[in-house]
Amino acid sequence: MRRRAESRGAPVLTVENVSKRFGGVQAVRDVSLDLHGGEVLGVIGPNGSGKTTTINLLSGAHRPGKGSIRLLGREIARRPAHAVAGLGVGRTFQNPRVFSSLTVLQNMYVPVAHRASATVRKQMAERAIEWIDLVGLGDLTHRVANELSGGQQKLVEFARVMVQQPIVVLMDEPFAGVHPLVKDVLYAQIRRSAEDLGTAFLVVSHEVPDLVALSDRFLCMAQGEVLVEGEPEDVCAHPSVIEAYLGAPLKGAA
Amino acid sequence: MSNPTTRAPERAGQLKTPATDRGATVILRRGRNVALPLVLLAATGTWGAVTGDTANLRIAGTVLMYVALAEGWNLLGGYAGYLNFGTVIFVGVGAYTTAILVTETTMNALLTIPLAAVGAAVVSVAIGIPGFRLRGDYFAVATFVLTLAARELTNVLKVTGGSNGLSLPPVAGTLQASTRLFFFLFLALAAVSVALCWITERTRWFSALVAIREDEDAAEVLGVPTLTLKVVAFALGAAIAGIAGSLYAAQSLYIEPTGTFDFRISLAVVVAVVLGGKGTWYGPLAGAALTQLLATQLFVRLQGVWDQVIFGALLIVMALLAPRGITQLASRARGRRFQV
Repeated sequence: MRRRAESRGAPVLTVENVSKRFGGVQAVRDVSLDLHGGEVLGVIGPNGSGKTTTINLLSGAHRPGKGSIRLLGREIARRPAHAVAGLGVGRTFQNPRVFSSLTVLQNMYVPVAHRASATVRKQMAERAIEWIDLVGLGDLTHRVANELSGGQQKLVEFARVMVQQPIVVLMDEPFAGVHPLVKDVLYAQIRRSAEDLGTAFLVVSHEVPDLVALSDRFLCMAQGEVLVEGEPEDVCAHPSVIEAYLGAPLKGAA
Repeated sequence: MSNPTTRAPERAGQLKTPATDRGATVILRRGRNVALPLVLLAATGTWGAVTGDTANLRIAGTVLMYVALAEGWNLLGGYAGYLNFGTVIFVGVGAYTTAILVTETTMNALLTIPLAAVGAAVVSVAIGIPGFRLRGDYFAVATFVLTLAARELTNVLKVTGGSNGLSLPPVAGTLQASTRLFFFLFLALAAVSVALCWITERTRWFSALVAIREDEDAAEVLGVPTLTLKVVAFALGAAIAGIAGSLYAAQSLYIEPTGTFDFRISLAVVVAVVLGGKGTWYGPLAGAALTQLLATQLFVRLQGVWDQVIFGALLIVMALLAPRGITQLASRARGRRFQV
């Protein structure tokens, strides 16, 4: 059963008035949002609306021009990306970015390597095997990543993030161009991780019906700003979302 | 996950030894790749040591120096993928550290070796922290420009003797004894450098370095402290170059800016690693041994212009035949046999 806004706890990630400008382009303007533990927040919006830039800002890949990003109350907006990841923010990319000459297992080691504690490394190493199995790649553990299909690479990328037991996972277009079976695995593991592990997910996708089914809450961006936020069905039925993005009411939406 | 799969604990042991995760097949295949460089190193060492001829020992020592430099370069350039044309900066820092300490304090040149290593490593950190804001071609160009700057700086500083250079007293009594001593010191340095790369490939850092080479931004957002790792790899390579420079100064007994900061040394190191096969511990070993022995023999037999022309042509042929390095030829040949 999906959690709804009423049953959520305190936010794990709080974003307040974050803006980012690239030269003359205002990519993100005064974006504010909360993300709660165990929640899946679906983010939709037309191309160029600032969705990926927002993910880049939240993951530390870009530094905001202004605004605040707090993870469990701790300011992370101006920390380097590796430090943000170390604090518990994981991310996947629009096009899967696996390390192609490494095996599936070695890909899992990349975030493990720099951990100072041998105990932590051992635990993460054990989780790596566990996650490879959970996403159904057990038979491909020692296969070099560039020999995998695009969908399998998406699964590697997802498992590689989950090995770190993140508090928040930012996913950019996880369902784009993948086989329905891969989509099912991703869907199931995202829901299971949110419900069983309490991981918070922010998922950007143009696959709106899939995202509606997956998400607890929806947010639509347009021109770098948050346009509408709320229940998935309500957001999809909102006139300004239809005008700015969907073009027509979503079939089956409220 | 509250309920881990039962397969996890028994398979977790494999995590500690990713390099051997394909078992005997990998060992056999690597054995073919490793055979060539090991034979070359053994041949170089044995040839120099057995003949006892001063000229041959000197050549062998130089070859071993390039093996060490190539392995040191490989740590950043081969594993992490940063093309560095500044090896000679650290050779120069090591050489001048030794020369200055010997002339100013009358220390024994061999006692200055650790300080030369530290000096080169410190300079590499000072270059690396701001320099690693640059990537790809820009980093390569920066290291080239810094080589020119280092040479000019050495030319004008009083402590370095300016363009007149610095002279050092001999470490050993006779030329033959000195040549033999430095041959074995370069052999030791080469062995340590090869071992350092071999060990690196078996540490937990290796995956992170390869990740930097393949997609640095992705590695960074996965939590890999990319700047720290690059600086450490750069500093280790620089320390090796610093020791090589120290030995070079102590053996040559005289150094001056133009010869010490000769860009061709950096270029020769890059060529050796690329031709040998970068990103492996055995590729730089094979590449340095082969290119240096080839260059030396061509120079001895065809002094003048033609040795350079033929050397260049041979390098092109090698690059065409083995674009991923000569140590990959064994794998290619093996692959062909299985083609129908």
